[in-house]
Amino acid sequence: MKVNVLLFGLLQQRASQPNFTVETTSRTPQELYNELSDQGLIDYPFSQVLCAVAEEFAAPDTPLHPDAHVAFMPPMAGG
Amino acid sequence: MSSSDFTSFSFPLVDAANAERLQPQFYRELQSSATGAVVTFGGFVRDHHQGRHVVKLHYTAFEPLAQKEGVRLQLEALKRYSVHAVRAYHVLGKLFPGQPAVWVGVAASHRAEAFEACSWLLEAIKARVPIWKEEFFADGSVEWVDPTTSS
Repeated sequence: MKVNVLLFGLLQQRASQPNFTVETTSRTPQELYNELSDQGLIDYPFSQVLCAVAEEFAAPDTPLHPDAHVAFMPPMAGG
Repeated sequence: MSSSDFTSFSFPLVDAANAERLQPQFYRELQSSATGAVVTFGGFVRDHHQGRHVVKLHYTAFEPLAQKEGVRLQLEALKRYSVHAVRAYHVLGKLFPGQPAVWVGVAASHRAEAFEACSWLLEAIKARVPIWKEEFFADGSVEWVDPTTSS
């Protein structure tokens, strides 16, 4: 299935673009993150990352559906 | 924003020009006849970080989620503390030293609750609202701020 990936903050350092679509067999945000890490698009520990699906915080094991919008967020740094 | 006026809840993400317009408006909206204390916090861009000269910051956000989370945190502050009203906004985009980056205001009957709630809300915004910043240094280097490695 295809899913839409959004990367924020320092997670954008390695990817050529912050938002992109991928064809994946990953069933959860965590699996997708591992897949992107294996491809060298991300180099940051997943334990520090928060996930969002459909513009809302989501657990790492949230089931992914086709055309889902999945965001990966490093520790917040506002203020 | 007060606990009895849920329709006005918002967490604006604004540029520097709109921040200057918004701050006096929010300050006025915090005041009421029941209010004995208004505590505000303004966070500004500073020109140094860990001994290095910072020339500008660039703030970005996951805007739809940041706005929702900012509202949720204000609601949480109203539940946690005995306060009348809260307001907050964050600035996005390129900012230079001396420019405002974040603003939080709290109104309460007494100053103790207002100070405590203002501090809690600021720390919660910094930790939980999806906003990030890049630092541009005088030596030409650019780095994302990682709160897990910087002080």
